[in-house]
Amino acid sequence: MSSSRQPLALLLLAAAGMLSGLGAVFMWAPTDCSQIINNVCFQGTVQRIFYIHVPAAWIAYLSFSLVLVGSVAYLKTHSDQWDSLAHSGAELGVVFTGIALVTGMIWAKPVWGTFWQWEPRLTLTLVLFLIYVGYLSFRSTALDETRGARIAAVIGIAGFSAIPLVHFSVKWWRGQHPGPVVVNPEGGAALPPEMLATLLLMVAVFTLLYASLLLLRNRLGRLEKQLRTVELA
Amino acid sequence: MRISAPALGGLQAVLAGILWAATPEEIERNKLLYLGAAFAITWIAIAGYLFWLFRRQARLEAQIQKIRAQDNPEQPKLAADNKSRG
Repeated sequence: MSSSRQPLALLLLAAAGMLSGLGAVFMWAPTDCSQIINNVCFQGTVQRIFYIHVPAAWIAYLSFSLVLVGSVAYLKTHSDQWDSLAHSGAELGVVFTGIALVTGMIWAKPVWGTFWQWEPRLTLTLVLFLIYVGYLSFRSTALDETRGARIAAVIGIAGFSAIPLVHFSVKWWRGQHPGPVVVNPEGGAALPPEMLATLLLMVAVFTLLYASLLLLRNRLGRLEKQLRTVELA
Repeated sequence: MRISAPALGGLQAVLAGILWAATPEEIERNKLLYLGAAFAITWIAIAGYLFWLFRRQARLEAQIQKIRAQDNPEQPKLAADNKSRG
């Protein structure tokens, strides 16, 4: 398969996977009834937001990890390919962090009674989002391309330090955000098997979708570089 | 390929309609609205990003071709000749 068709083939695979994922989310996974208030399931069907919120957050972690890898490698090798990987990772990371934030806010309204709480997990996720929005803004305004890429790499590496803070904030500080539900601290799954299987399927599908978007974004990076070369020639 | 996101959106709308019709209580219907909004925003964001990627790619390719054609005026003519010869 030619390299230009790989992202499209992956995208097609992701779309097919998404169809089965949606089938599992809406038709197979049980409605959450872990808390019953006035004979009504407290979360009920709104809990299904979890199947897009958690995969989006996972992709955000993955994407910002790629920014870290790309940035470190760029500072070591000065290869444009690593810089392009870091840039693509930051852009996609911002998209998926935005999705995680918005879907979390929509879930919070019927469950917490408010769209937003200044609690540790939410606040730190917003900070993470803003760090990488800053990274992208800096990249789009840097006049000296090489110097801009070098400073962006430093921001990309420093920004990654927010990831462990975001992830462990539910353990380290008291907040309203639910704790880990995939694995209990004592070990073993905390979710019913059907919910866990649906979540893992959606995580796999989102990862596939992410891989195709990353390849497409990287191709765009190569075209931007090609345009600059052609303009200079 | 580009219709996959709208197709998914359409499927979700059908599923949401079935769930809505099968849910008599107002509280549960409100929850469905939140659920639908979360899924819709997710697909709109992903489809919008994909649209932006493809549009930007097409523009860059056109710009590169235009600059190359300006640098070498014979190139488009040769390409057209080659195309007409099959």
